[in-house]
Amino acid sequence: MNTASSHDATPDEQAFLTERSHVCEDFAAHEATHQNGQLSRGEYLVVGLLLAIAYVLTLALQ
Amino acid sequence: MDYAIEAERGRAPLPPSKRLWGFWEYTWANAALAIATWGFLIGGSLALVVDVKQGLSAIVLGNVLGVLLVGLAVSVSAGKYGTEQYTFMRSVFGHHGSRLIYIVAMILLTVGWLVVLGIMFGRSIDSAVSVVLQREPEPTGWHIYAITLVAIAITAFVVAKGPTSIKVFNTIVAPALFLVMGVMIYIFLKDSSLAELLSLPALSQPFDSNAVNFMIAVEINIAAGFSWWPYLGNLSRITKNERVAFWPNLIGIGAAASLGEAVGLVGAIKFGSADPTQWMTESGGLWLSVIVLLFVAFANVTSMANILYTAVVGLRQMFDTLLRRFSWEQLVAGFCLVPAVVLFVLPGLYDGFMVFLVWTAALYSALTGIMIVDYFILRRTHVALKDLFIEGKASRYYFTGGFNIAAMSAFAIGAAVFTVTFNPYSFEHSEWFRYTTASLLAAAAAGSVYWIASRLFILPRGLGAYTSDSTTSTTTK
Repeated sequence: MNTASSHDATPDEQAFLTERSHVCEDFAAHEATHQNGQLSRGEYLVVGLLLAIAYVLTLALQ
Repeated sequence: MDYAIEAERGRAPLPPSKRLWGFWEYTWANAALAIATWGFLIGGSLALVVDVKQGLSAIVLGNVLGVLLVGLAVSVSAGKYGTEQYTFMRSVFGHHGSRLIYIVAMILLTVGWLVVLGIMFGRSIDSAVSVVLQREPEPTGWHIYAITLVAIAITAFVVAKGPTSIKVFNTIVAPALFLVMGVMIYIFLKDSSLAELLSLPALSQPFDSNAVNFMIAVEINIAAGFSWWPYLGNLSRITKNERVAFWPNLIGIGAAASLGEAVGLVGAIKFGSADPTQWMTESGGLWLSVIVLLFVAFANVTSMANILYTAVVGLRQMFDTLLRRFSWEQLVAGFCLVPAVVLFVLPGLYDGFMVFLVWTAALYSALTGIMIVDYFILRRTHVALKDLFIEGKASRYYFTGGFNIAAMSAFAIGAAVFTVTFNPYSFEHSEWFRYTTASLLAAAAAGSVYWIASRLFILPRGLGAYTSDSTTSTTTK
């Protein structure tokens, strides 16, 4: 990976940077597919409902 | 060099296989952080605005709104990418912008809380001694400053030893605080029924309108929810996935903080003082009071250790080149000099802490709105992970000179909208405050300005990797 700190990197540091690069590439490769534990549309809907209910109750209980 | 250790310290994303916390582990860790003494302070402050019934409603509603929004802003992305929060923020504010936000948002809050909690430590010790010696507490005496410095020194010592000592402190103090709250609830119910407690009036009411007073109480609780913003992302990144990173916030932080605030509220109204270190001396009997006050005192050190540790980890990550030559112990000691000075420069911070809390909400509400719009609307939940770690102009998140001008402008406008809607010093408010709250309006305003400015000035110039190929870095591999 082209980082500013990689120019004078020790072998240890270089190995770390390489592994970090692999991890980032791995993330990118699987980005488009559904991931384990990804929040579903239904869950986002629940979050939206909870926010709306809390806000409406805030106005109603004044 | 161990990748997992370096990743834990923030230098790399944590892959899901190397993350520690499942659903209930994260819930417990959250609860341990939230069930702290600041809950007593916030609850006690509510007693100066609303009665018990309205206060309890405000606590639940404000925490749900604040914690859910902050969770959306920082936890979902942290659970997905496992990236350190302020490193991730480079995709929103740029490399230097992220550093600036760290200084403003993280150091300000951490220093403030270290002073407030340190003074609470001092007052708890003073109250415990007063109970034993049968004398009046002296909450503003010179010795409070000395004990506060001792609290900061103990905290520095614990943090300098590393996360293991903090974990030991958490393991002992968090369950003990649940027990202490149980004792306090027992004291409340010893000579009053639940119905009597619920019908207790407010200690005072700053405005004639009940609706406005209630909204101020809700605002304070949204502020309390938003005050988790600097810490939540870096906790969520240790969880196994998005779902585990998000929902436990509501159970752990939302519920545990609400419990602490409810105890603080009822105690303050029942015993006539917003300061728990004072009403405990009057209500618990000699030895029970001493034991509870000592627990409260040392619980402050636990809270202080947690936030100091997170702040110094972030500091090292944000200014790696500058601070690399300093040891961990030197960084911790150096950071602690700031609250030690602020303690004498701003001696009224403890009693005016509600002002401090509301000020932080002015900043975090704007940041929350911006981050939600950036991640969910502009980026459609896709970030180019590699570019977060590339320093300098080679990164597509370098924006303009290291700053995303759209985000910085929206941040300033959001904070300004907050202060126009609700003055953190005087609590004077606009006409629309009772319908919008200041935090929610500021988040919406900052988010909207950010979206418009990004569409007009950032995306057309190809800055910030907002295109559909944002997952693929264009830089040299």
